[in-house]
Amino acid sequence: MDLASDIKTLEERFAGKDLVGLRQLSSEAAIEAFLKNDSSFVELSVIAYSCSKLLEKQYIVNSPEWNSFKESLLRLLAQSRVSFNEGNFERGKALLHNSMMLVESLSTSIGRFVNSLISKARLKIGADMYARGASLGVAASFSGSDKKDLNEYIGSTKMLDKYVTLSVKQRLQNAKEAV
Amino acid sequence: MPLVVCDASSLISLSESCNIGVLAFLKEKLGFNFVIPPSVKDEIISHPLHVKSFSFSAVRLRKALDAGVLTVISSPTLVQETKTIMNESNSLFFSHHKPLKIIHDGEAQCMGLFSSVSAKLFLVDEKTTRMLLEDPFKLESVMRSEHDDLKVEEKKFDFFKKMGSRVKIIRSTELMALAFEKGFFDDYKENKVFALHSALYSLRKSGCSISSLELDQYESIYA
Repeated sequence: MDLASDIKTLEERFAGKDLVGLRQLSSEAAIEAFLKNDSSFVELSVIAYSCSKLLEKQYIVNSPEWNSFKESLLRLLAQSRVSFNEGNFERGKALLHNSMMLVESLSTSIGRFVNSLISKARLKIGADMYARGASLGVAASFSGSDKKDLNEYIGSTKMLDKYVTLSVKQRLQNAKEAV
Repeated sequence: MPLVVCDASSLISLSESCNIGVLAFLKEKLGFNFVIPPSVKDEIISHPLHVKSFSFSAVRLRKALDAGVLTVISSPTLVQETKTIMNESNSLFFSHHKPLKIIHDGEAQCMGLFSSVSAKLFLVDEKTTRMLLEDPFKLESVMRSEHDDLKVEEKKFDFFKKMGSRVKIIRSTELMALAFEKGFFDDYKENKVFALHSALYSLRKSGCSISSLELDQYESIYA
C-alpha cells in the first residue's frame, strides 16, 4: 500500500458509493498505519470509514449539502494524492487532514450520530491495533483516540478472552503474598 | 508497606467503574503504598483535566493524589531505564521487515519504576505489558495469529522475563477481590458477593483485560 494509490482507491470507492470497499480500505489502512508507524494511514482509514457511514444514511446523501460536500471532498483528496505523487508530503498530509475535517464538519452539522464519526472511526482503528499486539497506550496514541474511551470500547468486545497468562487462583495468591 | 506501581490502564478502569475508593480502602487495611511515575500522572490527571468530557475522571484521580492515596515517585535512573525498555520492547517483533511499536512510554516508565524501586506488585490492566513480562511466548503466539509475516527477536525475551520475575503482576480485579476479603463490600450485607461479581464485570466493561473464563473462575471462588 502507498498513500497516493490508496487515496486514489478512496476517491473511486467514495464516488462509486462502494460501502463495502470503503470499509475494507479503512481496515487495510489501519493495519498499514500500525506496520509503518505512519499516522497519515490513520487519517485515510478514518476518512474511508466515515464516508462509508455517511453513504449509509439516505437523509445525508439526499440533503442539500451533499453534492457540494462530495465535490469538495473529492477535490481535496485529488489534491492530496497529487501532492504525495510529487513528493510534497507535508502538503499531502495537510490536505488529507483537511479532508478529514470536512467529513467531521458535515457529520456534526447534519448527522444524527450519537458520537463524532471521526472519534468512532479512531476507536475502531485503536481496537484493531490493540488486537494486533499494540498496548493500550500505543493503540490510543496512534489512533488518536482517548485511552478511557478505547479501554471501554475494547471492554465491550470479546477480544479480552485471548490474553490469559496465569489462573485467577495464582494471581490472587501472588497478590496475597505481597501483603 | 508493600509498594504497588500503578499503570494508567488500571487507574482508568477503577475510576470509570466507580471503584477508585478501593485504593484508599486497601491503603488503610493492608498498608498498600500506591505509586505512579510522572508520565502516568500526566496521562490520567494533568492532561484530561483540561478536556471537559474527561475531567471528572481526572478530578477523582487528583483527589486520590491530593489525599496521599496515590503518590508520584521517580528515580535517578528512570529516564535511562525507560529508554532501554522502549528500545528493547519496540524491536522485539517485526512485520514485513519493520519493527512493531507495541509499548508506549507511559507503560515503559512504569516498568522502569518497579525495577528501580523494588516494588512488590505491578498493577496493570492492559494486556501487552502484562504478557510481555509474564509470558512473552504467549504474546508472540497472539501476534502470530494477527500478522502473516512476523519475525521475532526471541533472545530479547530474557530481558523481559528477568524483569517480570522481580515483581508480581495484578489487575484491578485482583485488587477488588482483596478488598472484598477485607470487607470493602460489607455495607451491601447479603448482597456483598453479588456486589463483588458486579464490580468485576464492570471492570471488564471498563477495559480490564480479564477473560470471560476468568470471570467465571472468580464467581466460583467467591460464590
